[in-house]
Amino acid sequence: MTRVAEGGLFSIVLRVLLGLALLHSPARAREDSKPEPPPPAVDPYTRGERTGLDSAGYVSLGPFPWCEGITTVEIERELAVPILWVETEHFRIGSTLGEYKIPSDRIEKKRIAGELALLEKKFPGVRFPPGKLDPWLRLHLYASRIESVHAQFLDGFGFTDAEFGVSGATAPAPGPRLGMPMKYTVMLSTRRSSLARLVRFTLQRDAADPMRERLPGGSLFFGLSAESVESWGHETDSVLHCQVAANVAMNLVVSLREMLSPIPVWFEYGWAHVASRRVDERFTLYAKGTLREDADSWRWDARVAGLVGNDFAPSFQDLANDKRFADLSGPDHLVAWSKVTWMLQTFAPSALREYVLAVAEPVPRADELDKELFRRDRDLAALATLGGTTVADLEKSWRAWAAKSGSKR
Amino acid sequence: MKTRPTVPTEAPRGAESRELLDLRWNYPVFKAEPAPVSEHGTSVAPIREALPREKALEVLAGNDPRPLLVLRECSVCNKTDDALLSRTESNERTLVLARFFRCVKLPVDVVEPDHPFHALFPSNESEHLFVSGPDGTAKMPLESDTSRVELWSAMESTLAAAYGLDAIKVTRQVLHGLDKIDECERKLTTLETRKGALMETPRVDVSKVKQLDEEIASALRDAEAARTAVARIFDVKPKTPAAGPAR
Repeated sequence: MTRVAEGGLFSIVLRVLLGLALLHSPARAREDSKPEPPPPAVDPYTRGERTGLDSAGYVSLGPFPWCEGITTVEIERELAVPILWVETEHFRIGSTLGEYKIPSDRIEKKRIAGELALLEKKFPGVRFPPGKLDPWLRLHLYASRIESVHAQFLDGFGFTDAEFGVSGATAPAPGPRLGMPMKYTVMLSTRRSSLARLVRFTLQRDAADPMRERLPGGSLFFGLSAESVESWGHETDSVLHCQVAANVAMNLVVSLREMLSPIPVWFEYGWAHVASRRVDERFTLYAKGTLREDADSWRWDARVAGLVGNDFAPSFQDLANDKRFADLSGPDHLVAWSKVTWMLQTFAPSALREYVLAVAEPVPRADELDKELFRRDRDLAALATLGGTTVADLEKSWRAWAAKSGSKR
Repeated sequence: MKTRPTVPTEAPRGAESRELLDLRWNYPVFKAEPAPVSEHGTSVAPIREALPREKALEVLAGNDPRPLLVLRECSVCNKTDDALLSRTESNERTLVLARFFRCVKLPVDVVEPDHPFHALFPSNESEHLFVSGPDGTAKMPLESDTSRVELWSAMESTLAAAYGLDAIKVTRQVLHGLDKIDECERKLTTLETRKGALMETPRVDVSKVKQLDEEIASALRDAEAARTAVARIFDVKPKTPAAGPAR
């Protein structure tokens, strides 16, 4: 079993930075509380009917295989909590998320309203309940959000589904799922314990959430609990949504070429920050060293412009030297995000495609080879070919862009 | 932005202290081995069934020689994963003591007759948590509404038996160490934030940033030393050997 290289650290930093696992429930609430009623067994929006599923673009609402040798039925029995399932075109998703009352936060309210308007088109004739998201609606919303990150990845990097899973020299990777043999899996749970048990059951070991793991049979998994997000001091769906977008984005990019070589960590996190900040710029909470008390500290473009102006912005060369998540400093996170944003705006998807395929290519097997050095040099060489220029020229162009875009708002 | 407070502690704790106080739950899952494949290439799927109490305890304890703190989740409680802790009173003493236990959390359906760990919580009337030796001896059942004093007393007497340590004294040492860690962390955070802000401020005096680097390096050393001191207190080994065949 291969563990996604940075998933563990990502999780640790989240816990350390944001207040970790110490939010606990009342000791004596037992007598005062009633269990939350389970969601209806049949999805009220598709009615569990084929026409409804087709209209929503779903393959199934379960049961289905989760990974090699394990089905959703077995997981439900093991976790002993009601789980809602959906299989979309690219993902198998489970959720135990409860009802969510849409809060008064203007930005979140507006975003969810927009998302629901789009979702309504997939569920003709259905009216969503006002002011809240019930468990089934949350599942549909997350299925749509997760597929949206996948679509952004294909668009941004010039891939199509059709080119994967086919034989031939031009195929970028052997597996049908961006190179992986099985569909991606995502579990969003209310409690930490459910997720921990799922990982114990599927991988026979312990892990803290958020977690990204390769499951038996070759599905790349991401799991997160709302309880974890709450323990960082946030209860809003926006924060959960940002984490989901960032982690799914990372899973997509690291799975290219079936995870045979780790891609540059600055690029992986830069891309994750892009995905997270497309949802909500206020909640890139996992980026170690970037959190500030100032009200406008979420304005990363202005902060990057400051780093560039003072010559403190790490260069492509500096970033390529970072090997692990822990190596990334606050300025590294800010600049990685800025550089990936710039690359996405500046270069054609076909050029970015060549870059990510080059850095994901397996490292040759040779005893005398310094793999870290090889990967770093390969990253820089791939960057140099990106614009048909040198890394120094690339740096110059990015600095000019970053200085300008930081002073715009 | 709506935020939630963290669990009550004596004083607001920093991230490093909270990490050290974190309850590290284990979530055991027992998977029965499938029957061997027959000569016809077929096999019978393993049946889910309750383990004998001794075997259940063996699975829970694993190779960990620490005493056990076992909690079952309950469908009636509101997110009751932690019947152990209080929302209104300080939990620091409980959290410090819990670090010396192997903390195990079992799911709601553990009371079902076919759950592998059913023997530990045979019905809905069973206690919500218990502390015991690693082999289940000297078990002390506790409820979510047990008083703090009773809870601590049970935990401390278990620790005294397992480690021979004076839990009250150790708790005091740990809390003092955590105060020191918090102080170092506050200083470090202030310095790092100031450095980050300076680096991002247009036309900054670079020498000011370099000066901060030296202070940060010194603060990092202090923080590491404070953390190591607390980690050393937690790094005590139980007197009793790991659970063996004598269960």
